[in-house]
Amino acid sequence: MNSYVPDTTYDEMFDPKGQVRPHYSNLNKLFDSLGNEELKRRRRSADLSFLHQGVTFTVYGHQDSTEKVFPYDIVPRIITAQEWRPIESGLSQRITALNLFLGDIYHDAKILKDKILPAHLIHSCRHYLRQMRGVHVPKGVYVSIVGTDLVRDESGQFFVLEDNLRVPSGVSYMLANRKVMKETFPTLFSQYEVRSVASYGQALLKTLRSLSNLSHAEPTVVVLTPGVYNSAYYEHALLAREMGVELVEGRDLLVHDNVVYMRTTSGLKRVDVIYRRIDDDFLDPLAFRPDSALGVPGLFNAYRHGKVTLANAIGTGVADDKALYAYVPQIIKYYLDQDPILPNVKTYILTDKAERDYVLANLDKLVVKAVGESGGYGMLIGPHSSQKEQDEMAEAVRQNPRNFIAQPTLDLSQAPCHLGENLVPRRIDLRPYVLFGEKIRIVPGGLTRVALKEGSLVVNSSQGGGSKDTWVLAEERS
Amino acid sequence: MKTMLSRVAEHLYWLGRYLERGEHTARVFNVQTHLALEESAENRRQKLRDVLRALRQPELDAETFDEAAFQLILDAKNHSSVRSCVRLARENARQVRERISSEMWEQINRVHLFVDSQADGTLFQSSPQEFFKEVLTGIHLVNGLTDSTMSRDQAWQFIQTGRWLERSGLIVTLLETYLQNSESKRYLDWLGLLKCCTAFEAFRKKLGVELNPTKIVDFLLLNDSFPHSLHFSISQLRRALSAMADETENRKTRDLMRVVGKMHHDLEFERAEEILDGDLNAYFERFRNDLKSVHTLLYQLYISREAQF
Repeated sequence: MNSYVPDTTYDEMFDPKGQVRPHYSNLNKLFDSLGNEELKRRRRSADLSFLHQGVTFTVYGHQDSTEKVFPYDIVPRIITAQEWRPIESGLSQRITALNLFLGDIYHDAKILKDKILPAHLIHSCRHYLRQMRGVHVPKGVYVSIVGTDLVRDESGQFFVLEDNLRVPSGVSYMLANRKVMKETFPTLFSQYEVRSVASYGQALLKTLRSLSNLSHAEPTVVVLTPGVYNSAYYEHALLAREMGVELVEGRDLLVHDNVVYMRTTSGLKRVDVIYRRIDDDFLDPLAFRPDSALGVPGLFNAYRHGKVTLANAIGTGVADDKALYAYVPQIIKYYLDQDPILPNVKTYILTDKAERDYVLANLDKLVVKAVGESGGYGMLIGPHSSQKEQDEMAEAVRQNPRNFIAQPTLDLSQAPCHLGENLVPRRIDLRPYVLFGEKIRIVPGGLTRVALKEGSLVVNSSQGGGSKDTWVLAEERS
Repeated sequence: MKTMLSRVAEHLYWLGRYLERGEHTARVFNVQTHLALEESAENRRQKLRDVLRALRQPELDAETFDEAAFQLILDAKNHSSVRSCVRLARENARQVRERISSEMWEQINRVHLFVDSQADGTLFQSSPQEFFKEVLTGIHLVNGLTDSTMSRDQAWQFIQTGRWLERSGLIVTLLETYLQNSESKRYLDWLGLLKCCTAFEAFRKKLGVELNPTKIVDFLLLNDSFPHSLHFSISQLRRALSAMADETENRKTRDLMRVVGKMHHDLEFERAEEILDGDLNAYFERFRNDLKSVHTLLYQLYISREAQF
């Protein structure tokens, strides 16, 4: 470990004096005793395990959009029970408030009448779907599956960086990472009490079943995927397998008399709950994009009539719009009368002239993001950008200020990674997964994403990010 | 009864077919190249023509085994090459990986990665034996894992249907090719034919060392206990189709069961001498058509069925 030098950012493993934090000391001892050659050998076997399992994702934009193995780091990220507690309660609070918010803006819109939010923010949002006005979604639940991105500042405080309320991905890597980690360092597990993430499939199935309008029989749940060429297909297949349900494509489904059926070898079979991994726009060519070949004609009508449950509901993207994000603390206050447990990152709203002027004058220090994009696309990181990129972004912001927000460049915390020959510090974030059904379920763990390039702050897999197994430790028994 | 998507059934069926085809192509080519080593140039050309016909690739542009090797084994553009068969099997498996066991998927993936990593042909040229051994053992492992890790539910039955239907078709073409000019065939040709079906040792145990067309037909067509005989393959196919009909509670399978039952029945009661005395072309043609009907009826019943309300 002697080659590893922490710098000024918050380091998960070392305190500012360079001492190993207590919850990393067993890991530190084991790594020291194994030595570099043995670590490299185990890394190779972990890599092979991923390759053979076919744990892959697809990168778009390259000419041959090929399957790649999701890069993986063998040093686990360890979170203590004490650190986890506020994350758990903060995420529960947030998903509860956001569900109330979505129900409100698609019905009475009290929050707009009370002028807590500017109405134009909602009505100018591309993901606010007028078709959903007045629609009663099953059990009143809009967002049942969330992946929230958390980061830590210099002091180690967790912040919410963004909510993913449409089709959050990555949970399969949480499961695959753990599996490989248990093969790679079995002895290390026995020295810690790591909480299991294996129940995620069960928890997801229970959540989805609880959302069915059927009260009599056991509801039929399916996972709807765009197909094998989608970047997250591996995950769709894994979730279907973990839940023991069918993985369907749009062409496997049909709607008759507002009831959704799947085509099976024994004829048509009714479908009650669809965990859909297709974006709103592509769900139903009759209601949304007519050119969608992935969707199911008539699905939206069946949904409006309450004959089928979609998870997440249609139109939830309005609540993870990056401009709306700035108002989540007010949303929590308004619906729950509570202060947010997990703070937001300071966010500049660019339709506000004073904030816009400040941002345009400080593009070299700030991060600017397009509000409707995800996966690290359409993003400017001020300190790492050229004058030309800044000028282009300034022009884009002036053209359409609603389309962007700005935030201070966050340092992100860093954690040791075994890359090349040594342990080196790399920036990380954390995406825990929250399930909202008849109750809230949070599997203790999540996806820790790593910016593998030295000094980089971008952790997205599409931009050269990797991941780590994330260990949440059990409460110590006193 | 557990439901299964029609699309999934289709992928499983083709998974079974492509694995079988890849294995067969690799073995036939390996056996025949090996035997051709001790032949004259003229005989070698004849042998190659037979191999190409037996593998249903008579139009392939090759004069020597070396020229044919790349196209039959590693050419990604040839959809019947071993490499393509393995890739297509893997593609089909990838589409249904939540339906097959992880062990199967990992093994199929491993074979695919191996063949792809050998695409430049270095290993294949320097030690073809090693290459074929790796591929064939790899595919055998997939089949073994299929047998030992999958429930005998309809997913398994669809893989079996693909596998035995493909094997039946391959045996028919193989026998048709080698029995056509049977008077010009010699000991080594019959030996090669048996080895193409991994049948030489089993044959010797049952029928001794003497090789002739009657004995060959007796064993490769009519034997009911050897896994690479047509009789055995058709009886497995019949079994899988019947289990599938039970499992899906499909009551419209009469035509399908009739076609496969009739083939099975004929193989059970025919004698080798009668077959060889009769019109061989018509004989094999009938099997080919019946196997085609099985495929068509299978699609009609389970895969492309129209919605009914």
